[in-house]
Amino acid sequence: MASTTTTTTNNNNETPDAPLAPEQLLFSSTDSETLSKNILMVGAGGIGCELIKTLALTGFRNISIIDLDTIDISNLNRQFLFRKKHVGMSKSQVAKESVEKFAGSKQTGINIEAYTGNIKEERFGLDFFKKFDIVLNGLDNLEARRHVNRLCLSANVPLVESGTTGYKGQVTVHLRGKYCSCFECAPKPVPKSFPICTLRDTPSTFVHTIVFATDLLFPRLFGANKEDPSDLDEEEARDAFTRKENEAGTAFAKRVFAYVFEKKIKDLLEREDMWANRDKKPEALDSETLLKTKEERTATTGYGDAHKKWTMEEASEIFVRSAGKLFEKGDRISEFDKDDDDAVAFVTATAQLRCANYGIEYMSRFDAKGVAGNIVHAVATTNAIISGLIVIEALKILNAQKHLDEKEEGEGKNDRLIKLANSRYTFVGNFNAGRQLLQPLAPDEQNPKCVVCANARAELCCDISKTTLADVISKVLKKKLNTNEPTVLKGDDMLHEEGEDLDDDEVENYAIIGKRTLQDLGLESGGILCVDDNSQELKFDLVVVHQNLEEFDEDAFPEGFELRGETPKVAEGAEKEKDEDGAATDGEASDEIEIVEEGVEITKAVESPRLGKTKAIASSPSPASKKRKTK
Amino acid sequence: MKNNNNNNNNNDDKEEDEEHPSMKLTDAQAEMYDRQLRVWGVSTQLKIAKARVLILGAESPTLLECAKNIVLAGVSKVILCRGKAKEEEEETLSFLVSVEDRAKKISVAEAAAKSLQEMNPFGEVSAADFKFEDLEEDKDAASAILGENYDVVICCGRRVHANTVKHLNEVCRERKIAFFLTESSSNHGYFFSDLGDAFEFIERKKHDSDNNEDGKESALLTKPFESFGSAIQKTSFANFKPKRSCKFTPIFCALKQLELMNLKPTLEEVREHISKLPDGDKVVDGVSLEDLALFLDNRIEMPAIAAIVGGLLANEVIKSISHAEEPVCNFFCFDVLSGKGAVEKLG
Repeated sequence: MASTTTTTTNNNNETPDAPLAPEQLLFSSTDSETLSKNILMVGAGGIGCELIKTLALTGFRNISIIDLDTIDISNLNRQFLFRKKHVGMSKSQVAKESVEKFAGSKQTGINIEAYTGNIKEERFGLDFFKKFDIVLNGLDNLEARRHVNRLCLSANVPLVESGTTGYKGQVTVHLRGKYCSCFECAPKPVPKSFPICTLRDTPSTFVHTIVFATDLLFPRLFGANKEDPSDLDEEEARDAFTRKENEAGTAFAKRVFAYVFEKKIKDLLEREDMWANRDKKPEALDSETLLKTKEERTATTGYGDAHKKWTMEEASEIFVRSAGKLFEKGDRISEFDKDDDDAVAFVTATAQLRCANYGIEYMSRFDAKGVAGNIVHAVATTNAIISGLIVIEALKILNAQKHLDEKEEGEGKNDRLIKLANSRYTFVGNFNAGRQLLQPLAPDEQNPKCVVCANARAELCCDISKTTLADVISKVLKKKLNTNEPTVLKGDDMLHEEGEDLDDDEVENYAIIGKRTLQDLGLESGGILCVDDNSQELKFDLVVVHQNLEEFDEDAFPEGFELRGETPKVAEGAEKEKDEDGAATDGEASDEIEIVEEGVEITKAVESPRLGKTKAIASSPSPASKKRKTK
Repeated sequence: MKNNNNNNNNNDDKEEDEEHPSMKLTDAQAEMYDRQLRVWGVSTQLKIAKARVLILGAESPTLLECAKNIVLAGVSKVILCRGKAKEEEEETLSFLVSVEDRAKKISVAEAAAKSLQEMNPFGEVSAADFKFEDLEEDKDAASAILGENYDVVICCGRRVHANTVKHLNEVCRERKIAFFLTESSSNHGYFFSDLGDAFEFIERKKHDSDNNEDGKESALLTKPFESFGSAIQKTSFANFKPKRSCKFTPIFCALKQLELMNLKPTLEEVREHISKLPDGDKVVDGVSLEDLALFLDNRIEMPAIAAIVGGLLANEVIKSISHAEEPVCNFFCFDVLSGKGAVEKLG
């Protein structure tokens, strides 16, 4: 702590919560105590590679790094610890070896523990998290981010969270406390889904045509469950989509072509009511002409320049040829895979032909692949910048921790920590006239409506006479709220449990209960389900409010339910309207920064997810903190 | 200039683009560059693949960060020059120098060139030597250093005299080479850029494909830059707004002004110079002697700041090559404590 002795004339002595002096926060980074702290890095991808490098150069010696992924060729433009010869190998292992090459363990005493695995595995549970002084996230999906957030809250370990897309990125700091928000306090962008009828009958954007291809047509023709009922199966469609015995793949593909792009469109045009209020009517393609012209060019291979748009003839020929190849692959295909060139060609051709039907501008194979495969665009620079910002926030927290009273306990301690550390959220963005390259903001305060850290209740609005418990578990608890192995209780009645230690008859029993609707289970509008997930140390109440299925706007809620955090009693009325769509409650222009995160599935939405600072009304005292259940 | 280059392992690629001016990406390049092609597109990638970049003062961690970023981006040629004698190099860890190379006492520039070459086989990375000191008095020496035809020159500002910078920048201007100066310390980092009198770039409104097809308007705009010497000399301290400016920018300008008067100022002289300027006392107020000392004799580049400044600078280098986004004009300064990264116009 050499440098802290010279200049400590900051106002720290006057007000206990004022930020520490720079010397104490950052220049003591050569301090051996700080540098020997245990650091957990989740993710060894774009951000991870930069981060572990910057940590090692700063002098940190005890780093654990987890990633489940293996190295792909498309990582090499930014994940600079990896080489072509490493393709297919574990990211965390190779990252460890590459860092040891320059920060070799003998000289600097660096100790890197590499784990190949999913952060959601049981071995990375609460006890594992408690071993660390700080957790640094460089993740590419919301699900894992939320899981890590919950474990950090339970283990009371500070979390530095980050994300990048293109030139944009952000770094935020999260702790449990009144003056610090958790990662889930602010609403997060979720992949948008589209109503089936829009996709099937009335697409109006390129994305609609892509989702039609990947989520409807592809699974119907090639998917693992192609025999299952599909949303495409209208009366005569069943024949059109069923391959005849001994029928060649390409011949079948031509029948599908004729049905999807011609017959089906003609049928739709006959439903005049459908087009009465629309500007544009679709146009059927002439499948005979389009398919005949290409008969001679059977020798064609490959799909041409990925950046060049195909002509209609090319798209038609490629539709048939790629489908033929996919049929040959048979059972080796389970679902659409962006790394399968034939699958991408098929989806691109389908989208282009649909675009021709509906007068929509179409895109090249390269762009279509980006949309279909949820490919996040990424450059090295943003990840490097973000890694520097993460290390700065981590240093500040770790150095400030040493100035806290050790005996102090509970949430007040975290509130003090985040102030002493002068923690910040930083946003990195494109440079445009007047906008700064780095924008630091004060951390958000806790959102009293947060289900995860503020003990708030979640509210589910659905049709209780139609929604089954199994629906709630799969579509709401798992998909929306990211629980892992939820237990559900109604009063004292155990309705659902899962996990490996259940007996077969228990599993069977819960499966039977799961098929019953909420109404059948005796739940009324306003009734409460208690949800508990031991693997995430998460427990909350789910209030169920009834609304008839017909009353849901199909575009806004295609799944037929709405989930929201419960509005606190104080703020009822005024706040409610705004919060229901998960939009920011604070309209300050300075906060209008788009946040997109590395790998967050945005394609199906292709909608820029925005997150403002949620300044929730916090006039009520923080909810009485329930004791969290510990195993 | 002594050139220790022995990394000529991709003549194939080079011959190809010389033969076909409208070159295309190879399949292997398209595969490796896929994610960044989605950021800046094929035409920018092709421009990057033709660009040649000279890095002066490659012992600086900030420049090595920047070099890594532009090599990954796919530039055709990067030459890393060490600007100081081997004995002067500090014993700092570099992610581009392996434990073995450090033990063998290979220079940072040479070791880094080797690592960078492995990182991206499509470009050519080599190392060379020169001495910053030789350029301080003599513009012709600067001219000789820049003997080859480069598109971009990036110069280290750490313990490099303003006259040296001025000479290099002037030669770059004459030859229409984009010029950048950068430095990081333990509490701040900056870069300066000069892209010539009239830098043209295309501004795309709503580049993101998020907002459908209609958002693709673009316009050709022009931005005037100034040379380092003239920007520093013309800087008026009254223009600095404490709220918007970084507190280090005025110190930087004052120090460089004194150096351009052929001085090697001491700490006290810099302080005195600032306080005599109009509004100078306000500037001096917020700045401690330690802050000033860091400017005069900066020996530590904090790795985190080097990563931030090296990343932002690499973005500017790419823009100077692509002409496809609005560049920063002409000074950026990051203050680690406030977290602010301010863009300012000097001159």
